Amino acid sequence: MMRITLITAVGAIALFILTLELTRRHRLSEKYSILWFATSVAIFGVAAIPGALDFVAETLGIAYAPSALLLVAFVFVLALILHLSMVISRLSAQTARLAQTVAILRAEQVALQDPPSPPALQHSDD
Amino acid sequence: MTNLHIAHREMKCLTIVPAFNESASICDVIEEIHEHQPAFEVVVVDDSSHDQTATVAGEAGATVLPLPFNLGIGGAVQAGFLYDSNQGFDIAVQVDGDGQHDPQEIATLLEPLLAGDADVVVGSRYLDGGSFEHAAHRRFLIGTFARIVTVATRKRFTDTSSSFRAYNRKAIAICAEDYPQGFLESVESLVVLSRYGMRIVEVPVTIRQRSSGSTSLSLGRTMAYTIKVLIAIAMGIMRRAPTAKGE
Repeated sequence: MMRITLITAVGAIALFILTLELTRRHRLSEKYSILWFATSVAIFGVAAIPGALDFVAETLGIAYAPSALLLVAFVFVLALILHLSMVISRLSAQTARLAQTVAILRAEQVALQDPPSPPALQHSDD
Repeated sequence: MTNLHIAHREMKCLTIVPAFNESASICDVIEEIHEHQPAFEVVVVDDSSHDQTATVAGEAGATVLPLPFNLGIGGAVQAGFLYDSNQGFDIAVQVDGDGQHDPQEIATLLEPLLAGDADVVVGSRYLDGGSFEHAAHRRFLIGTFARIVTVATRKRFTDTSSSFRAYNRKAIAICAEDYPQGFLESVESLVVLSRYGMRIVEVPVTIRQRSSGSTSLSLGRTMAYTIKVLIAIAMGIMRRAPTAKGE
């Protein structure tokens, strides 16, 4: 039990540092870093505070404490994936609108450059 | 008919031709549109083709909207609507780039629009006077969609996946803002347009055999798209009826 506590605590610290580093290097936006900082703190809390997990399990009415941990983790992951699906849906819609706008602007640019002759479109593959 | 002919001469009209790898047929399509509807501007939306579709279309005298990457049919058509809407066209006719739609029949599509009887006109392959031979399973799917959309919109449809359509200015504005993405978007868009209160009319048309290219659909993808469309239609009904901008 001691060993797993230690591993979990180290894992939580590693996650915290990773989040910090990713945010510092602009690989993760500040907005999402909050989520991961909170996650690492929560994991650390479960490992560092003895009885914390048992308290959560008891409150939820779960006899076997590790099940409570799995449940909480599963719900968290599910919620996170749903959120990311929402973000992707929004981004796809925005990307499509951006591409459409780019296409129209390119057509207008061609029309401005040489109005009478047909548009010459650059194709990268020839 | 003659009056109608004169009426649309005074309007700004355009055809939207979505094209993905259609360099073999696109030139004929554009020339035929010019031949039958000389007053129409032709806009080819090149959905990031791998071939020379954009160049060929440009040389044939079309305005080319080159999408920087592939959006799929829904996004490509919508680029055309966005262009229409920005440029203030009165009428838009959607014609496929593969040559399956006969530009001679654009006049048939325009009639209810010019008469003020419809906001959207759909060329149906299955109304009396229209024709097309399909494989049994495709025909079944098309028939199923037609029945579902009929129930969803409480209007009778025979051919909901036909993309040979004409739109007036109001419908163009709606499609520019709210058009389904991805494959089989034509089915969904009828429900969307109907929710906006657009009057949709079907007219019989004849569909020609594809002059080039092949239908790019595996069974798995067809099923996935079918489910997607069903969900989209259900959502369309469940959403509060939208109102068009500037109404």
